[in-house]
Amino acid sequence: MNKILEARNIIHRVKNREIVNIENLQINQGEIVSIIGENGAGKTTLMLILASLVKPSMGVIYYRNMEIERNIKDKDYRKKIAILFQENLFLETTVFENVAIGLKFRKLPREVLEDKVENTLKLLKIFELRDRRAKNLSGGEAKRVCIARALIIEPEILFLDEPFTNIDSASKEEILSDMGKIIKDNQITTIMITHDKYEALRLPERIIVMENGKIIQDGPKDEVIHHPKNNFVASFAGVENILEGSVLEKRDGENIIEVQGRLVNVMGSFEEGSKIYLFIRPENVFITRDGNNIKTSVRNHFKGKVRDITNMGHFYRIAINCNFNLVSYITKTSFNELSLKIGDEVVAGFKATSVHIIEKI
Amino acid sequence: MKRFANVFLIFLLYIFAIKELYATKNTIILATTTSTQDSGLLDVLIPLFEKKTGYFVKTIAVGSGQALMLGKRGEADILLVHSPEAEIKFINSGYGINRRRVMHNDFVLLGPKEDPANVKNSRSIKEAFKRVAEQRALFISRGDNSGTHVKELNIWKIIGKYPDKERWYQQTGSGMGQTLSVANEKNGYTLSDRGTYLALKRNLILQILKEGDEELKNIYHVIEINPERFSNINHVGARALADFFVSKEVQKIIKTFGVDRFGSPLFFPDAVDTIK
Amino acid sequence: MELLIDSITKALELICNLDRETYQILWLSLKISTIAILASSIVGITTALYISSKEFRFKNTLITFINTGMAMPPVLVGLFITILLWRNGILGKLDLLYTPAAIIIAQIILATPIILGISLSAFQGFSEKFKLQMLGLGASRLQLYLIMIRELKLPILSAIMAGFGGIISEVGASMMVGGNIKGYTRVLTTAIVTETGKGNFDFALAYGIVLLLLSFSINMILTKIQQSSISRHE
Repeated sequence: MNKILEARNIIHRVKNREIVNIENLQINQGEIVSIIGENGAGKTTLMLILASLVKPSMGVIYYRNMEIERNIKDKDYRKKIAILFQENLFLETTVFENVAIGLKFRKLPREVLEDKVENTLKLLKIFELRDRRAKNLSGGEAKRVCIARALIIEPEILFLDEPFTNIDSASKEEILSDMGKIIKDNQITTIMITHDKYEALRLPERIIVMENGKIIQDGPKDEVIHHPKNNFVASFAGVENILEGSVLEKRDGENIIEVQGRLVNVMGSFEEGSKIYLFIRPENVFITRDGNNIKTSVRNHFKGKVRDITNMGHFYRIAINCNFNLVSYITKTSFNELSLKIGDEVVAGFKATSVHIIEKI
Repeated sequence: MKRFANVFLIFLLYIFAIKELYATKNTIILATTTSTQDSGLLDVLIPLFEKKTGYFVKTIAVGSGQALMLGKRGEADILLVHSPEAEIKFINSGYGINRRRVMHNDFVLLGPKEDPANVKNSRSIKEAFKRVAEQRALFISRGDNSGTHVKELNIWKIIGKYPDKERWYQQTGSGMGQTLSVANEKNGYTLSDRGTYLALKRNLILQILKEGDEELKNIYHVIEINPERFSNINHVGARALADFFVSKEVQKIIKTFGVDRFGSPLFFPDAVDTIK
Repeated sequence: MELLIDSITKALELICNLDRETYQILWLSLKISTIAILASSIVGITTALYISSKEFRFKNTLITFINTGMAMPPVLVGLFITILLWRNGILGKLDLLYTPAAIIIAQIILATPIILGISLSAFQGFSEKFKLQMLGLGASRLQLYLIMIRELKLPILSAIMAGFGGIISEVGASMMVGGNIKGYTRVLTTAIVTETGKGNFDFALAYGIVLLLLSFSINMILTKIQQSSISRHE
């Protein structure tokens, strides 16, 4: 793999508070990466440092193995990248002028500039908006203009900071696929900060998870989604059941955990008495009217009462109270067979193998 | 960028449009009193001098007190002032030389027509001031250390009554014209030089209530700043201007200045006798 | 009332008859204040940009000083400059006291804090994300600043108008550092004082009317520039 960007031993402090602390981060040529994490985790600051718009208190950034500011001026480096924040258009000027701004910064002759703007607008299917004032654009149109403005300068690295907030999911998918095609066709390395699960998974192959300024997880998206390393990633990845418990006993790679006075069997090896989090995906939780027809392999089942029922369209979301709260997704067919009502007594269960565990720090 | 260049060009043009941004070497700084300027006399004399000699005269019209202060610091080349006691002190301290009498007019005591303190009948200006103080009649003072102010303070001093803290005694802290306006509006008494009074007469209902006392003579002297004390003053120019003030030609102008407008002269030339 | 009507007639007379002295005074006032306002705009706006883009200790103290400077009494500035420019003063060698240049300096000192203060608050209100966005699209520092000035044209022009209004109507400093020398440093405001002192209230009012007409025309031009940038976008 060809390394395009590397951050080494980055520490950034603001007013003595550590905002970012990253030992090593490498981004390869053509990679599409999403950075996720809670508000205040340091995502945007990390992005600004990578884009050389913020000088870190300590540490070095390398662009193609050239140290920024030593081997390559940060001015020259910034000419090779493009940043796209939420919405920062010149509202009073036309789409054409907005898209052309990056080329004007590079002092391109007018004819070249006009050709390029025309091509880019066509690529993003907004050529007919060329002469419209930015303030008269719809949310989706404005996003496309922003993307055009960033892509027109043919960046080697594209930084996106929560680019698709405030638009409906249908237009979001259209824009994502149009933009994705351009990014992939041109092999543009893309780093995208997002809060949105759909955005984080739609284009990127790799997910970086940040917490308190540190990278706590970095890997292929499947791995991150199925083995979340903190509560944030777990709920981000759609794990609705996050239970807190303590290890009572361990034997033969199995552990007995106490959760709110009930016992749960899980796999793995943990110190007795240690506190842990249990993550269970709601699609792995089964519900029956009585405990008789549960498969023997399901070790964990608990009596409880139906607390809430939500029709999610393709499936039903059932919340059950069995000392602790457990959420289950069941199909329409199962729902009809069970004919559940709020307050019904049920038995809910899950396999020991479908529980993902991390130790509480 | 082109527009910016245009703006800059216009800016440069503007700078060159002021030919005399800087003073030339041939300037003379004349510090004088507001009364000479307000009377309009200098507007006649100075252009004449400039035309004759090629000097450029910067006339700074301030109170006599400030004019003397400018002289003490060497910030003026020549003074035309009317504050005799202070002038003598000034000369004796070595700040100025060659003090020559140029002209005089006189001070007059002005007041409302009704004359509440009955100063009209007083035998002397001292008695008039006494009556004002006894009647606690409103008196408007310059209060600005000018020649007129100093003269007024002298009279109070002679009669032994300095009404600084009295409620009927108010100080304007400004020039003669302004002070006359205040006295006029408030129906107060005030001491003024005749020239300024005549110049402003048409806007005033104040009347001359006491005049002609020897004590009220207002004498203007020209003083050259001592060149031995300040090396950077224009002494040659100062001497030329001083000579000009006492020259026959100028004295003649002074004699008739104001007659056409006010019916009587504003100043009386004094230097004719002293010259040769 | 009679006096007012008389003086308005007088003013029109002076203007229409191309009275030489009136035009000279008007022209001098215009030149002095225009040079002063151009210089203070350049100094004020660039300084405002610099302060707004930097973080340093005592920044708030500095801003407090600037805001105080916006309310600086002209007479105090005049006195300060006079003392500096006295020929036996620190800058006496320049020989600038009682010249138009001295008035320009005083007016620059008076107008700069006004322009600096108002444009600084405009720059500080400018979105940080927007600046990063411009830099992130390859703008140089200078290009960014030019964009900020363009985007903040309205408040900046307001700042310039406020500064111009302050100095064209100012009398204390011009009187003190210019010396009110006839035909040389006598500007409209000091001419008003002189004519009032002479009792020529009609002349004084006439100059006042000329002054108002002048500042009205200047403001009309600036407002036109300012408003055209709005209406163009409607």
